[in-house]
This record gives sequence, structure tokens and C-alpha cells, in this order.
Amino acid sequence: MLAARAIDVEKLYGRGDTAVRALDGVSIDFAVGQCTAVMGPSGSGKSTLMHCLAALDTPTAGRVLVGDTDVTTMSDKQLTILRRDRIGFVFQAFNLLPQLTAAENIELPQRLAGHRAEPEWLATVVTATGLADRLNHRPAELSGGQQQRVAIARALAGKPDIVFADEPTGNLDSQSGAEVLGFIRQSVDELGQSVVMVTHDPNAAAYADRVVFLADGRVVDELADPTAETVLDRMKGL
Amino acid sequence: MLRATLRGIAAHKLRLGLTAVAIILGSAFVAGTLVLTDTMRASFDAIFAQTTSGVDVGVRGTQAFTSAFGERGRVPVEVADLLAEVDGVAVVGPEVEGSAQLLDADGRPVGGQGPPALAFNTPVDEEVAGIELRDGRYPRQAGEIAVDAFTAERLDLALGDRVQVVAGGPVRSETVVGTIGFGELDNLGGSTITIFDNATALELFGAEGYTLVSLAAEEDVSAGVLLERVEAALAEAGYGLADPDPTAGATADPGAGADAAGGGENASGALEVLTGAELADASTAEVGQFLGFFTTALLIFAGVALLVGAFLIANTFSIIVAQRTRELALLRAVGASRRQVLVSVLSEAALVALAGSLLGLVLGTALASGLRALLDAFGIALPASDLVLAVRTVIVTLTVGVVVTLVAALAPALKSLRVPPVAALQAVAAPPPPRFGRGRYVAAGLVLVAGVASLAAGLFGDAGISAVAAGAAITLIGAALLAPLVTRPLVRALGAPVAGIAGVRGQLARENALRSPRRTAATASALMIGLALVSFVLIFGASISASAAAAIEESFLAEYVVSGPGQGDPSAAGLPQSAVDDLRQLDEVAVASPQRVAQLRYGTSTPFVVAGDPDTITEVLAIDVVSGSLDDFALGGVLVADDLAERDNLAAGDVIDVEFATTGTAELAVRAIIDGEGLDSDILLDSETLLANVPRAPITAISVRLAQGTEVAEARPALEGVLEPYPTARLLDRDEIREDIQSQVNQLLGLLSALLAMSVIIALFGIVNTLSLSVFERVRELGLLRAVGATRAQVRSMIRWEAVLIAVLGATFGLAIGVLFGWLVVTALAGQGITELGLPAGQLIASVILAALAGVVAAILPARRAARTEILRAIAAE
Ligand SMILES: Nc1ncnc2c1ncn2[C@@H]1O[C@H](COP(=O)(O)OP(=O)(O)OP(=O)(O)O)[C@@H](O)[C@H]1O
Ligand SMILES: [Mg+2]
Repeated sequence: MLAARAIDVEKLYGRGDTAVRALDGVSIDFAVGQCTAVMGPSGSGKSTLMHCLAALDTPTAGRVLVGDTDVTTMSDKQLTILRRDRIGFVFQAFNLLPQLTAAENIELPQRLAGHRAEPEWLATVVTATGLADRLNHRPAELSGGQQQRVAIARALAGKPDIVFADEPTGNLDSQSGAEVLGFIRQSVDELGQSVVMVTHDPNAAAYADRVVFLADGRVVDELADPTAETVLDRMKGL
Repeated sequence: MLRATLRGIAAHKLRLGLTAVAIILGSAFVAGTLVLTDTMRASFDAIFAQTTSGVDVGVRGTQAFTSAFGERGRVPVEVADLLAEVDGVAVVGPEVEGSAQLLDADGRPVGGQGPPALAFNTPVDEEVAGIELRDGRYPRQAGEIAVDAFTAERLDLALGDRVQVVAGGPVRSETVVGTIGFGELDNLGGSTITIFDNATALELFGAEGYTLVSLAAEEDVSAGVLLERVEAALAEAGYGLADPDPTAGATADPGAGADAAGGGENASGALEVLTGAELADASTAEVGQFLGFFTTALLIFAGVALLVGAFLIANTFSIIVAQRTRELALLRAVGASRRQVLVSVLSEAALVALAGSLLGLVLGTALASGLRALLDAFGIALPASDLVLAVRTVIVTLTVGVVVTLVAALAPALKSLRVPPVAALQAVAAPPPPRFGRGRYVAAGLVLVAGVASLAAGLFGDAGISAVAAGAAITLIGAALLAPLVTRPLVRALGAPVAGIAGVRGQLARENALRSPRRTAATASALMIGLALVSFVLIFGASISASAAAAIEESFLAEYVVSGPGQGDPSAAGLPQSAVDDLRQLDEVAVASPQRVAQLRYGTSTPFVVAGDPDTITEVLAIDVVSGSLDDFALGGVLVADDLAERDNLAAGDVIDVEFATTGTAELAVRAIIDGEGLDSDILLDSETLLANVPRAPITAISVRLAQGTEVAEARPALEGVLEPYPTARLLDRDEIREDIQSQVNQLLGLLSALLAMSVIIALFGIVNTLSLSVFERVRELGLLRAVGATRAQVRSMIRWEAVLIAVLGATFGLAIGVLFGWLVVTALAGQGITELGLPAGQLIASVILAALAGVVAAILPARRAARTEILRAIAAE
């Protein structure tokens, strides 16, 4: 059972001489209940891959499946609903609407769908993210780590098929980063969530079950059950 | 710096374009008003030049003041003979002017609802009369008429056709024997014109003499010489001569002729002798006075539109400055002085203003020609003169546009000075504007109080109408300054149901509207102005209707009223005395009491007065005597309303001096002081005195009291039967009178609302503008919303609800101010018969709902833009 699949995904930006091949035939499977880290040098296409997988962008060629659903043939409206109901996304920064409280931000996708999140599940997520006493605060009143945790809570609240996180700890100090990563790990272990996250940090990658290495828009290597040391070793080898 | 300014303009095309819309619409209204009235004036000039082109000298009676009835003394018939004897006179063209209403095939009056329905005698000489025959011949005997070519075409009249005409008496049946024109014109400014044969015209309209005797000089005699000879001849014959005053007699001395001995029977009125050119000037000046009111009225609406525009401009510039904080800070950081930054922002405003007002000028000219086409379609044919674009119009429009914009942009520009250079380095591009300090709210409150005070001083004191206008404007500005204070709680309250209806979209809309209460308040305030005035007009109209209804209920005793033609147009022919007599013949009728209206000079004003029949007036009108007695009213004299009596310290038994337009001063005995509530005028005159001074004063209405035991509905067929020969008469029962007043009020309300619509439209552009700028500011959030699953439709709906919130907020403000204005004005006018404060709840609620719908319309473009936000670009946006 796969949470998501990329099959020969290509992404071209621009045209003619100045065209950039951001993804050059990427095929990866993401298993259910697994946390996968995506690593690679800057410009290797990590964000582009995440956007294509999360139905935020459409690949130039190839197919993307979320669960069994082929994303590449869907209309804008279908994609929107797919994102809302079956995908969670955490950006590096600016994840929250400043005019809504933490609680309202967490529930936003469900509210957009016209229903409320399951209260018990919501309580579980809120407790797990340690946000119980911050729920009525606006993003401006939260620390960067807290904001990212709210974003993750939002991504989890709808029980999506898969959560994508693009450098979720990129803007955080190591302490807050560890908090966020610990929580991601916890959601995989305890909630059975499937997660794909981009990171530059071998220590962060060590929280994952598997690391995929990208370079120049291709998958160049893979590592199971990583530790910070094995990841660092592989990175040196690339 | 100029380059930076131009770059700035290029970079902010959209927002400046929207600002320009405000300037364009405001200045277009100004330009359109000026062009239209200039063109109308030029048209009338052309008409009068045409109609007097063959006249060298004209002789006519005088008037003491310009009355709305156009009354003027007459020229005794024998003067025409006397003038024929004057050396150098080639042609004598005596003219009788009256009022005649043509009826269409269904017996309905044609024309006369605006432009008058005029009647003339057959001209002795076409050139002197300025009339020319187009087709057929002139009427030679009773039963024949000629009509103007335009009316003939409109009524589809051919020579030999029979047509019904009302000329002050029962309906007449006439045969059309000719059509006439005026030089190139088929028509004189939309009036319908009927030409009778001389004898009939004299019989109908000329009992007191000619209205004008036009003279053409022999070839070798100049107009000036002829004028002197005519004056000498008239003086020798004992006629009093008045100095002709082209401004229509404001200073003419009506007494000049009063003492003149001998001469004609009409010795009380002097004659004035003018050259043809002076005659044209005098007519032009009279029309100019009317056009002056027209211009002022339209310019008031233009002013309102500009005031709203100024709000919009100020708001746009303050948002632009806020959004450009970084850019301006960067300019400062790289060494631009404060002054350079200020100049940059202001010159941006000035350039946009100049471009906007130029476009406004073009649009305004188009607007004027559109309006003229509209008038044309309604049969108000203006001569085909070109649109008059005076230099004055160009200067006024451009100046107004640029000055208003600069004033509006000044505060935001000054704010830009306070941007510190370090702001360039700060992460957040647009810091929220500083909270409005308590001191500024106090100041805003004082502005509001000052506005209301000025309003009250104008309404209740002697400060006059300009204090009212200024007070209203200042009140609106004060309210707009105070608005941010109440915006938070109001938007919260209004937003609660919205969040209930539209869920999270509604909630987001509310939160977005709350983010910058000042911006929201400013946008709403622009709409507030339009809605304040609309709701004021509605309340005022409802109050008039309610007061009239109350007055009818309380003091009107008659069951029916027969109303004359040309309601509201005092120069219309009115009803003949025979209609009163015929009504009195009926068994069903106990009392038929005619009512006439005239204008006279009393003190410095020229009020309209109602004249009634002393024997019957108390049967149809419940008059509450405060002091004195009605018994003596039959001896002649006046009844004075208590308000006026108090003002001028009058008591029963006093004598007041008044002046009639043609017969000069008269002393009238005050017979009683009466309760003025529910009366149409403060002075009630007895009809005999009026007729002695204004022989042609029309009967405007006949109040009918039914005989005891006659059912109201039963009497109708008999009354209608008697009125058959008077097709211009309308029979109204009490309910119909109320409805009639109501419909007249509604007509006026419709017109005023249409004019105010302009300012509402400009305010809507304000909403478009603010929302577009907000959408621009919030790309990231919009992208995020789309990323987490908001559909495009949901994004659009969110923006729409925000627009609705702003619009309803503005409407709420407007309603509050409108009710205040309405209450103040109605209270002030309690003495003028407006005794009830009407609150037309349905209409007011409808206007709020319309405002909300307008908000939806205003949201279309910004919502579309918001929905098109590209997710990834928004996320990537710095
Ligand atoms: N909108 C775009 N238009 C053109 N080129 C783009 C666009 N977005 C990304 N690219 C290019 O595609 C390539 C992959 O970019 P991507 O953002 O996926 O890299 P990344 O691996 O996420 O890098 P980083 O670690 O710096 O975030 C880069 O060469 C980038 O310049
Ligand atoms: Mg990236």
C-alpha cells in the first residue's frame, strides 16, 4: 500500500535555451506510515518535487499518484479538494493566516470543506503538538517553533493520506527544530501518518525511516534507517 | 525624482487607474454641468436673437419683480395705433401671448409639463414677429389655428385636421390651417406653440392689451433714433415710461406710471421701450436666472461627487503610501531628502489628477451632449448649436480636479515623510498604520460637532443655505474621521451573521475587514456620504408626504379637489371660472371654492401666496384663528400665519405693504392671525384683491364640498360629467390627493436619487480600489488559502463578503447621518408645513440592501483577481 507515488516525473521551467529541467525523470514510492526525508544540494529540485507531489504544481511529464488517485489528470477544482481533504502541507515559513487564531488555523481545511474536525482527533493532535494553551493566540503572538507546530497540527488535523513538509525546521533554532521533528516522528509512530519532508540537516534526516537523495533533478541515492552519521557519509559521497 | 515618480505611476497602474476613475467621474460631473448649462444658455441666446432679429424697438408693460408667472403690464390696444403714427416706423407688430394647451387624440394634454404651452396671435409681419410659415396659411377666423412644426409632427397633425385646445375656458375644437417655425428652428426650447387669429387671440388673452408691440424701423432710421421718437410720442400722449432694466425689473420703479395722468385705461402700469437687442438681452437674463439655479443645483451634486471622490483619492493614496513604505524608505536610505519624497508622492498625485480631470472634461462634454439628446427625446428641442466648451469650464474642471486630488493626497504624502530609512531593512513591508490617538478622535468629534452646529445655525438661525451646505459637508467629514472608532464593534456585529451564513469565508471576510479599521472605515465613509444624502432625501420626502397627509386629514374639509393643469408650473393656464360655476350648479355640490396662486413682493422676499374665496374658504379649509376674526376677510385683505406674524410682529388690524408684479404697491389689511400649520403659504389673500391686481391669476384648484347626505363615490360621475369640457382638470378625492402628492414627491426623490447615484458609484469604485489593493497586499495569504484547499469560488466569496461588510458598514453610517439630517431639517421646517418626521423603513432598508448588492458588484474584479492567485508564486513571494 502506497501513500504516494512519483512515476517518471519531469518538470521544465521556461522554454528554449533558458529552460531549466528541475525534475528529470523522478520515480519514488512513499509507503504508508513511513517518514521519508528528501535531501540534496540547493537547486536539485526538492521543492519542485514536493509541489508536484502535493498537487500544488503540475509536472511537465510523468504521473503523480496520491493513494490510488492520479493527480496529473485532475482539474483545478479537483486538485483543490484533493489538497484540502487528502494532503497536508507544511511550508518553510508563512504557514498561517495572521487574522485567525491557532485553533482556527488548525481547523481551516475542514472549515473550508464545510465541516468540523473530529473533536477527539483534534484534541489528540493539539495535545501532541503541545498547543493546548496557545489555541486562542494569533500567529503573531506565537514563536516560530510554535507556528510550525500549528502548521503541522493543521496538516494532521484532517487525517490526510500524506503530509509534505518543505524544510519545516529551516527557520528554527536547533531546540525548536528538535521539538518539531520529534513531533513529526511521533505522528508517524503513534498516529500512523505518512510523511515526506525536505531537509538539509543530517540530524533532521535521522528522524526519518528512509532518505532519498536528489541531484540535478534525479534520484541519485537512497538510505534506509538513517542516522546522522550515515547520512553525512552519503552526502560526502555525492 | 521625476523619473522615480513616472516609474511609480507605471508600477501602480491599476491602483492609480482606479483613483483616476474617482477624479474622472467627479470632474466629468462638473464639466458636464457647465457645458450643458452653457450650451443651453447659448441655445436660448440663439432663440431670442432669432425671435427679435426683425425687431428694432419693442414696447411692453413693466413688472415690479420677476415673477414665476411672467406677469407684466399690458400695452393698451390703442397704443399700437399711436405707434403707427410715429415717424420712421415701418411695421407695427402687436403681439398677444397667452397659454394654450393642445390635446392629443385621447384628450390628454400635450406638453406643458416643463416647457410651457404658449399661444400667440397671427403675426402682422413675419420678420418682426420672428415667426415664419412652414406650411399652409395663418388662421383667419375663430376655429382656425397654426401650430409649430415640431408639435405638428409629434401629434401627427396634417393641415385640415381638427384638434382640441384648452385656452383658459372650456375645450375648443380647432382646425389646423398651418404650421410655423422660427428661422431654422421647428420649436422654441420644447414649448408647444399655438397661433390663433387676431380677434380670437385678443379675446382670449388680450382683454387688458397687448403683451408686446414690436416695431420695425424704416430703412434710414436707426433703432436708437426710433426708440427716442417712440418714447417722445408715448410721453406726449401721457403714458408713464419706465427705465427698461435688462435684469428684469429688480429695480424698476413701478410707481413711475402710477401717477401719470390721462392716456389709456391701463394707467397704473408704465410702459417700457427697448431696442430689439435689449429685448433679447432681457429675455436672456431671465432665462439666465433660471439656468443659474439649474447650474447651482447640478453643481451641488457635482460637489457631492467630488467630496466622495476626495475620500476615495485620500484612501487610495494612503494605502499606496503604506504599501510603498519600503520603497520610500529605500529612496530615503539612498539619500533622497524628505522633500524629494514628498514631491515625488505629490507629483504622482498631480499627474494622475491632471490626466483624470482631462479625461473627466472629455467625458463631461459627452455627458452634456447625452443629456441634451435625452432632453431632445423628451421634446425639449434645443437649437442645434454646438456644445459650448468655454475656457472657464476647462479651467474650473482642471483646477477642481487637481486641487481636490492634491488636498486629498496631502495627508498620506505627509505620512510618507515619517517613513524612517531603516524601514527599508525591516522584513514587513507594510507596517500597520499607527492607531488613531485619543486626541485625534477628540478633534474628529469637534469637527462633527462644528458641522452639526453650522447645520443648525443655517437651519434654525439666519446663517443661510451656505451654512447648511457647509455644515452638512463638515458633519460628513467629522463622521468619516470618527468612523474608525466604531468600525471594530460594528464590523464584529455585522460580521456575526455573515460568519453564520458563509462559515469560514464569512469569518475571514470579517477578520480581513477588521485588520485595518481605518482603511475599512475610510472606504465605507465614501459610501456613507451618498447614502446619508439618499436616506436624508427619502426621509425628507416621506416627511413631506406624511405632513401633507396630516394636513389633509386635519384641515382639509372638502371631499374632492379639482386640480388644474401644470401642477407645479405656475404659468400654466389654470382652470377657468366657468368650471367653478358649473360645479356650483350641481345638486351634489354644496360648496365649490376656487383657489388661486400668485406671487407678490413682501419685504425683501417674493413669496407665493394663496388666494381664496372668503365666502367659501372656511367651508373647505379648517382655519384656526389665533387672533382677529375671519368675518372681515370678506372685506378684502389678508390672513397671516402665526409664524410670520411673530417674526414681523404683526397683529390683526395692522396693514402690510406688498407689491404686485404689474400694479405696484398695495396696502393690505391683516384681518386675522391664523395657525399656519398645514397651510401652503404664510399669507392668505382674498381672491378679489388678487384679481384686482393680477387679473389673469389662474385658478389652480377648486375644492369641492359635497351636499349633506351625498356619498363621496356617488358624486363622482356627476362631477366628472360637469368637468368633461375641461380636459386639463383632474378630479381627485382625498385619497387621490394624498397619492398625487406622494407620486410628485416620489418623482422628485427619483430625480435626486439618480443624481446622487453618481456619488454612490464613485464610492463603489472606492470599494473596488481598497479591495484590489488589499488583494495585492495579501497574495501570500491567498496563496496559502488556496494551498490548504480553498477553491477559487471560496476565495471569491470571501472577497465578496468583505465588500458587502464594507458596503453595509458605509450604509449604516450613512443611515445614521441621514436620519440626523432628516430630523434636523424636518424640525427646522416645522413652521413651513412639514410637521411630521417620516421614516420610510422599507425604503431605508431597501437602500441598505442595495448598498450590499452594490458591494457584491464592486467585488467582482478584486475577487476574480484574488481567485487567480497562483499558489506557488504567492508562496515564493518574498
Ligand atoms: N518558478 C521557477 N521558474 C524557473 N525556474 C525555477 C522555478 N522554480 C524553481 N526553478 C529552478 O528549478 C530548479 C529546482 O528548484 P527547487 O526550488 O526545486 O530546488 P530546491 O532543491 O528546493 O533548492 P533549495 O534547497 O535551495 O530550496 C532550480 O534550478 C531553480 O532555479
Ligand atoms: Mg527548496
